[in-house]
Amino acid sequence: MTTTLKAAGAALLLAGASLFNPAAAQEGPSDMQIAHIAYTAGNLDIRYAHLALAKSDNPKVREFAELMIRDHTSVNDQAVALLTKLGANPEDNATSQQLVMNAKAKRDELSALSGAAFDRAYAQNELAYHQFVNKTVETAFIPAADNKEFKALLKSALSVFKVHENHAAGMVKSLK
Amino acid sequence: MQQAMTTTRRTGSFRTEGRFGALRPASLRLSALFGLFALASCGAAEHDAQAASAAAPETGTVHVIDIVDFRFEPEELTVAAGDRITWRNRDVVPHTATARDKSWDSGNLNRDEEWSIVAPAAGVLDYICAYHPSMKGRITISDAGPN
Repeated sequence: MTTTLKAAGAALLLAGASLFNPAAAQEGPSDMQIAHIAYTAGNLDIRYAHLALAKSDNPKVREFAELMIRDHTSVNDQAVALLTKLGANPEDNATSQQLVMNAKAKRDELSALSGAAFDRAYAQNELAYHQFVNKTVETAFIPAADNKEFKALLKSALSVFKVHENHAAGMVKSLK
Repeated sequence: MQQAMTTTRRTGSFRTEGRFGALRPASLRLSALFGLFALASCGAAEHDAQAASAAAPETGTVHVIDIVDFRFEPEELTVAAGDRITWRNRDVVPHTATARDKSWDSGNLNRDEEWSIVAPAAGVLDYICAYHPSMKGRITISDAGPN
């Protein structure tokens, strides 16, 4: 696992951890910050998928990338629809910004690879990325979310992302 | 099993209905070889669908399969020939209901979209979600009616 991924995961978990700490509650992310982080994480995975479609000829990798684009786009669209209905705006925050920076570094790293080396690195990144995001959504964001509809959407999204995690694990195994 | 069936798709306020039959390989080959007869071949497929419909007239009984949390609910269903089966996507991502043998396919179903077939003659329909193949379902069709 790369340092970049560890940093991304640490940023997410740190954001979530502060939600559990009453003393840090005021500094912890709000629903709108969680929404921004989750939306950003989804968009970043879509960007990884576009990179995979541009670089990989492996049918399994391409199929997975297309799935990521389809599913994350759908989840993000529904998040936007819910926030629009609630009249709320996602709020940019340091965790989202850190995720974007880390993802840029990871994309640069992946872009320098090709062929089977790219496929393996992409698959490993997808597995690690979903593991971190899922852990954070499940243990930090869902318990912390206030709005009922937003919490329900996070739960539905988590079930989607867990399927992705399992799929990514299978892809990693098959590419070894 | 006769795969010809009637399908219905509903997207929001839009609803389209149509009949199709799985083209037999021979029909496909003929269409490829004699493009001018393509329309005639489609006509034959339409005829097949109508024939199946005649063999299994719609009973008016409707069975609903909800797609929720990456599952077909119920995963297994027993119906009678002529019953209508409707898939409704209640999930946050697109899914499909696609025959394992690819003889029928709902195509992309976004959230809250639905798609129906009228069960053809007795047999078993095994299907998956083409996007998430770990999602599996089975429909058992009896001539006499559900068990």
